[in-house]
Amino acid sequence: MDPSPETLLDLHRRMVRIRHFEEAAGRLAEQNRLPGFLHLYVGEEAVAAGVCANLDDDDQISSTHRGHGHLVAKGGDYSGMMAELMGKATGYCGGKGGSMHICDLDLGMLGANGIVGGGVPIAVGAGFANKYRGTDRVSVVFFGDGASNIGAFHEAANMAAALSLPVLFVCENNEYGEFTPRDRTMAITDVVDRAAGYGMPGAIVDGMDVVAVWEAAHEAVSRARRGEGPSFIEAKTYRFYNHHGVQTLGMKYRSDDELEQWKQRDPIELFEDRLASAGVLGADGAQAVHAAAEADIEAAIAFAEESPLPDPDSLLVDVYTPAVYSGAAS
Amino acid sequence: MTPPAETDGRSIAYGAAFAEGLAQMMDADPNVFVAGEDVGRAGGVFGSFRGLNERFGDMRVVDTPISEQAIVGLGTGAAVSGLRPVVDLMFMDFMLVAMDQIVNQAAKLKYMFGGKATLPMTITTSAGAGLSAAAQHSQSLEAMLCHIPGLKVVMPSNPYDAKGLLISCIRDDNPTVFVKHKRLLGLKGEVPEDPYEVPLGAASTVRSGDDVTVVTYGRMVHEATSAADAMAAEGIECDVIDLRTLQPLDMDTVVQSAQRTSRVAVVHEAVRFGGLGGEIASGIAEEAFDYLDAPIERIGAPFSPVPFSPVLEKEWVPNAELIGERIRALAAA
Amino acid sequence: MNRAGGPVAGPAVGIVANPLAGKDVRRLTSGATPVSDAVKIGAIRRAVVGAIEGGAERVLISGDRARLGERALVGLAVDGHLDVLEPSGWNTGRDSQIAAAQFRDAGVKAVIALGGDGTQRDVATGWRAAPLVPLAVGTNNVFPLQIEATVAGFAAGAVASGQANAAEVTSAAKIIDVAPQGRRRSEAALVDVCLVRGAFVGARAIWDVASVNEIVAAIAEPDGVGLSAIAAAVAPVRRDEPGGVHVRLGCASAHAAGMQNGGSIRAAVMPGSYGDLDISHCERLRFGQPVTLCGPGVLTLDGEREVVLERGERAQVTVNPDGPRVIDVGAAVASAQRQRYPFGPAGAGR
Repeated sequence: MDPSPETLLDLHRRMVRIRHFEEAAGRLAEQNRLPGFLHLYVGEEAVAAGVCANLDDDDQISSTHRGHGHLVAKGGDYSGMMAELMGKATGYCGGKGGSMHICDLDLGMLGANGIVGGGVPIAVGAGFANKYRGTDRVSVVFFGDGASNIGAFHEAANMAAALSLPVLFVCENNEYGEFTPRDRTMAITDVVDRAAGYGMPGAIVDGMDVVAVWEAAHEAVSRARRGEGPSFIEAKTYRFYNHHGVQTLGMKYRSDDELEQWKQRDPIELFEDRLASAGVLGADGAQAVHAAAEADIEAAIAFAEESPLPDPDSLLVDVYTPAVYSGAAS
Repeated sequence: MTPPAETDGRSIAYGAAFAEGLAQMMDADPNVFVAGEDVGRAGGVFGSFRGLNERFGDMRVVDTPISEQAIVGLGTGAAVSGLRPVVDLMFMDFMLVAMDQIVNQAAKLKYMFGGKATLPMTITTSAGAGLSAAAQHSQSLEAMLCHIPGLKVVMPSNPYDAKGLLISCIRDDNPTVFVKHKRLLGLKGEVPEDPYEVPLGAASTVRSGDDVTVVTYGRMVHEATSAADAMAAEGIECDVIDLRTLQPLDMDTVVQSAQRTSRVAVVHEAVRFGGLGGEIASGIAEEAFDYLDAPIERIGAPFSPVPFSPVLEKEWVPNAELIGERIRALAAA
Repeated sequence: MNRAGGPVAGPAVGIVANPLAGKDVRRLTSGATPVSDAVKIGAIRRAVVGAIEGGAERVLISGDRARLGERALVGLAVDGHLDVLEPSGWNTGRDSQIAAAQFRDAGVKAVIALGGDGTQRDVATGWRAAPLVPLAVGTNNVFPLQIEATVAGFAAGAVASGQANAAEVTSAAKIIDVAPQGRRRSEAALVDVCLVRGAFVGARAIWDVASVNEIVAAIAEPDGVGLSAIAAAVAPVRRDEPGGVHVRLGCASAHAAGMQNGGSIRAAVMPGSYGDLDISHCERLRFGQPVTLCGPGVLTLDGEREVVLERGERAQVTVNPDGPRVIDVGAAVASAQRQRYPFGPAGAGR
């Protein structure tokens, strides 16, 4: 049942890299070194890592406001990400997208998204393209419990099931839609209850246990690759930081006790304890992974800071693709 | 693709020209597919997709749920993954359900992603009053689309342009919106059988004259031409410009004509307030103010929803008589 | 509604509903039935009606974050006191364990547990000898009964109120005690305990039966499904007969080497899924006869990975006779009705 030792180390590395990127971004934001909004993924690392470890670069994902973690998990480059967060010309989007639109199409990461639920139909479209071409590629859509209340989700879920598309719906249920607890906005507790309504199988997993997420995603991705259609995973997780920015304690909309209770189940600490007990990775080995990520993030910050700002003349570039037909010769 | 071919005398309807252009693009490019409500087995509510499902199969002519957001999302995700979708929204009014996917997603992805995305998607839809379809099946909402950077918008007035503009839209690597007028679907006209493009962003002067410039598009081209014919009998000669593409707008043709005639009327079926006429008028004012001999006339529907009862609807839609009156007054000013 | 499980006056029934039951990964792996909150809420509501009808004056319902109990009671007008306990806050199987213990401390006389084998185990872990109507609302349902919640509630109410004689209509189920050496916390199971290869509990359910090394089953009935069905294929053990069975799985070579009672079998290892297994050893167990399972590996309790054994760690597993006292629903209802309606014809099974 277990992932291979290589996969276990890979899962660990992906989570650690997400954590370090997000902590660094949070520090920079608190120092006013990043413009704009910042929605950080700290606490939810097991979900992106556990799912994306089942994907190749040719498999697509669509993401959310809280999209850095998904890009890192998909193999995103720290330097391009950090430069984008700083609005630099060397950023992933040339400084035109920022945190909420960070993407890497070469890695199949179809963008973070500033519109709640906006990425769901797009991932379904990518899934359609995969089926259309007769490949075994899959697309994965990450979305939150809040997004499961918006029409786009329902339309897209129904369409994916109706057309039997190779799509995996991954609901990151962190119990809050922005600042409002889930039980004030939904009459159900488990978003997965909605899956059956669209005719797709769905399961709940512990979103703080990266192996649990990996196992469930492995099954769901395999189903999709075999042509058995979409499936749904609800990962119960929690954001350790605020909806945007870093501030955690003393917030009115959730209690410090609740936060502390979830932090007891920090997905990285839990996993490192298990890896050590199982003899897969000791404390020194884990520390080396953290140190490598830290060194990479420091290099990325330096790269971003030294990078040029976008040329104001680039303002109108890329509003449109120049009118050259890139399709089949005719 | 070659410039517009010579017509060979063959006359087909606007709707058939659309279907022919679409089928030819599907033949030419295996990445082209069409998806929308009733486009498959039913052949489209107006018959615009008739025969395509039988010919190309369920995977290339896709019946979708009644889910406009998901339909546009399907196109966006497929386009960004390398396909060349044509997605149909049946009635333009229904497009409002999908505005997030059109405006926030499709139109902006390329820019937000620093140029890395290419979105060769065509959204087709039908606009226009005149069928007693009432307020939610009759609107002309093109102005709001033209306001969105990243979109291209066309509204053909005749079968030749319908086919040529559709082919240009499908071959364009940007999200385009192709707006048919429901009352033009049966209109016949000469259409070459071979595929051809009508370039995006190029207006066409459908009638020449030196006294008044009439700028229009879509079905109003026919009302304006009728009015111009009537005015010619009174000795007023009109330049009638069919914009064909509304975004990007061919202001050069408009401004050159305005500089020649010094009198301009802009005509559209859409509600006058906030309509494209305001943008065109202000563009003329910026570029040719010193040439004008009279204020620019804007003709559009009154500021009400589209009414149902035929008598009310007839009152609502601008017509040749109204346009003629305004042209006469403009010429006399 | 109720602050805690203090003693309550009058005949009381407890209802444990597990919000997590019927939602795990087996819906992806084997087409297991999804059980929505709506199903559970409906079952609670019907069980409450039955319990009051059966003679209970109070019904206590476990609390949870899904607020299943509160939602079940909306607008429900019955002649009794209905209370929902405060959620314990774990949002895991521990919630059901804690609720069962609270019921015991509050003097509850009968418990209805809504869930699959996992939920029933949690109740037994919290209250070992609970008088129990185990109601099948889960994924794998070897231990619980497929029975309508309304009459399940009635039976519990009848036992709680004394209208059915508990001694006559209940019988102790078997229980498997699991004592990992060197750990304070012991565990229990009602159907089977297995040792599987691996070092992670992961998504908990087992769907790769090739990873199963050993099985200790208290119930291994031919019409069951799950890991116990492997044992049932070669050594069936009814739920009402003493003892259990111990099966070791392994390569066919063990069989070829001449081990007793070995061979290849096929069994319904999950709902909707059969698996091939090689049995290398199989023996019947007496009550109290210990089996030692050795790490490294993961112990599954009633089909869910729960306890990781590191290399060198051991767990002692024994099948015992003193598990939950399962209420015979038919007998309990009949007993109550004999008291209520003494006017039926003689010899009609009354």
